[in-house]
Parts: sequence; structure tokens; C-alpha cells
Amino acid sequence: MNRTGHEDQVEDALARMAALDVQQAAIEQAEADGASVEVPEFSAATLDAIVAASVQAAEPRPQPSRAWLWSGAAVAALAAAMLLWWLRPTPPVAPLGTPELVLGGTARTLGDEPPVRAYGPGDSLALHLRFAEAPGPIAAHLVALDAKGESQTLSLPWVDHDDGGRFEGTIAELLMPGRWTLRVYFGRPQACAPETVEGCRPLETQVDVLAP
Amino acid sequence: MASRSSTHAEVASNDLGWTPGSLDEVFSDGGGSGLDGLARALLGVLPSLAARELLPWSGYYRRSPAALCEDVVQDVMLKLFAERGRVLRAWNTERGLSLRGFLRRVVRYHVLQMFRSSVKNPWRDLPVEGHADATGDDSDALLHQLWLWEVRDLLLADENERGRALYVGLFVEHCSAEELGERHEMSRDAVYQWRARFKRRASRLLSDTPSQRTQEGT
Repeated sequence: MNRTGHEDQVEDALARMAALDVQQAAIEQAEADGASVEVPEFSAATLDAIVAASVQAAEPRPQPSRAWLWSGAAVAALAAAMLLWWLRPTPPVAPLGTPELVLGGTARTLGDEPPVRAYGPGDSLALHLRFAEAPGPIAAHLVALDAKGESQTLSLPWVDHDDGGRFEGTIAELLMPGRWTLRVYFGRPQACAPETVEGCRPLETQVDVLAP
Repeated sequence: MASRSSTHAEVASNDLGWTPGSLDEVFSDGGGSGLDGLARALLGVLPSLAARELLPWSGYYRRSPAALCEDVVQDVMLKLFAERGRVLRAWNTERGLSLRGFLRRVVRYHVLQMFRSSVKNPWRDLPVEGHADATGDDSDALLHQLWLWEVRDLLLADENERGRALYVGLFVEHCSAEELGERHEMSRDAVYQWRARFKRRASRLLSDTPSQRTQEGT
């Protein structure tokens, strides 16, 4: 193993270690936000079924026939390949700095204090995630929240830029008229998966969506 | 390691009355009432552990975790018991983790795997093109991840308060060296040096292969 490959593996391992803490932080944040754990009552029948299935799973498996051994070997090879893929090293990347979120596009009006940009049908929106320095590879996804906090994912195209990237498109066709919070979740691609918050950092701004 | 002895005392009440030795006995007996009793004991704690792990995800997706909690518990139980309790018997008190803490990590791994997968994520409405699934969810992958978290414990056990804060800043919050330097009154170079030292220690600990560790625990 060359030195660079080994360093990549250490970086990858550290990212996997941190998953424990990222999830812990998400749980604590949810609790701080007022969410409470609701432990469902399992029925006696459900408990019995889980116990029975678990005990059965513990039993040693019957010895496979010779024919099954070959197919078993193939499955094992496939599983090993999948495991290697999952454990593949990822290139080391520098930590992300704190970006700013800049709204652009053809906003029609500016509201009163605080000023909020308004977008009507046909207006283009540009939501720029801008870092002070070139951030390297990043992943981002966009969610819109209404006044009640109901969220919906916005599938606007993401365009990479040297200083970050931006979402571009029109939103008046996607969102009901009214005030919306646009929240961008971003992070390193290996940590911030699409449509998840774990491993991502949020940044948000507000817009008004105008009726036709 | 000074912190380990206090950890042992702290975790004693969280072992649910089981020891690695008693687990070995139950699985070696080939089933029967011992396995049944063990399963029911674990079912006494797994639902609350699963519900807590689902908390941020249910908030994000705005879904009730009740039904999913049942699925998670069942899947985790099957993982723990499969192959004569291979995963469950990897729990070792000498590594400083209570049984409850060990179970929490198994549940956490399962929940993270589920929500990182576009196929397994039960709350994903829209398919995401080009998103590869994390598929390594067999016992080997789980044991490898548990071992990585043990390495994390060892790394952090030897760090002081600032070292732990730098770990969180760099690897959990992905802050820049500049941000962390300001936060902890350090120069940017000092942050980089700490990071390099932490990585060297990680590299040394990682050279102790997971397969050896797994065999020790089974």
C-alpha cells in the first residue's frame, strides 16, 4: 500500500468514526428543539414474533450441499466486492468553511422591513452558496418550508462554481404563493447524502412567492 | 487510561444483567429458554434506543417513527442473534462499553445505513438518480464499523477537553482551521498540527486489523 492510499484510508476511517458523533449531535439538536422520544408499545404478539425469529436466526445454518457451495462462493465474492466498494478510500478534502447564501435572479419586488425578495411565475431564481475560498467538492440539496414549517424538497438544478455553487430555476410553479424559507443543506459529498440532514449543515433565507 | 476505570463502574448497571461469558453460554447451549430470555431482555431496551435514533429523521421527514421503530427493532434483533449471536458476542466489557451502549451503536449503524440508502429509506418519496446505495450491511461490515467506533473511543480517551472539541470541530462540524483557531485561541498552523498528530495516532490504531479484533470478541 503506498503512503497516499494509506492516508486516504485513514481519512475515510475518521469520517466513518465521526458518523457516531454526527448522529448524536442530530439527536441532541432535535431534543433541544423540543422533539421528544415516543417509544411505541409493542403488542405481545409482536414481541413473541420477534423473539421467535431471533431465536431461529441464532440456530446454526444447515450444511449446504456441494451445488449450493458454488453459488454460496459466488455470493460471498459479490458481498466482498460490495464491501470493498463501500470501504473504498475517498480522497482527502479540507474542512469546509462557513459560506454565505446569496439570493439573485429576476426578483420582481422588494418587500418592507426586512426586505424579502419576491418571485412570480417566470421569474428566475438563483441561490448562490458562496465560500470565501474555493471549497472543493461539495454536495447540496434544497428544501422549502412554509409558515407552518411544512417542508418540501425542491429539485432545482445545481451548478458548480469555483467559490461553491448555486441552485437555478423558477420556484413560482413549484410553491404556493406566500412566504417561504429556502433552506440549503450542504456538506462534503461523502458525508452529506441527498435528502438527508445527517452530515449536512443548513443555511437558509426567505423569499416571497407571488401569485400569477 | 484513567477514564476507563470510571467508565467500567458507570456501565455496570447498563449491562442488563448479562456478561460476555453468560452470552457465550446461552448461544453455546444451542437455544432454548436461555435464548428466549435473552431476546426478551434485549427487547426491554431496544425500542427506546431505536426511537431515540429515529428522532432527528422523523423530524426531518415529518413522519411518525412508531411503525418504523418496530421494523428497526426486529431487524436489529435478527442481526444480533444471527450465526449464534456473532454480532452480539462481539460485545466485550474490556473495551469499556456497556451492553446498552453496544446495542445503541448497533441500532445507530442500522438507522444510518437505512437512511443513507435510497432503496432502504422508507421515508424517501422521490428516487434520486445516480445516488449509489450503501450496501455493506452484513455482519462483517457492521463489526468493522463497531471496531472503528472503538478506535474513536481510544483516540478520544487520550485527548483533553480541547482535543475533543477540535475533533468535533474538524470531523463532525467540518469547520475550517481558521474558525477553530479563533474559537480555541490557537493559530491555524497549531490546528493543522493537532490534526496531523490525531491522524498519525489514528493510523497506528487502525493498523490493528478489525479481523483480529473481531475474533477476540467472538
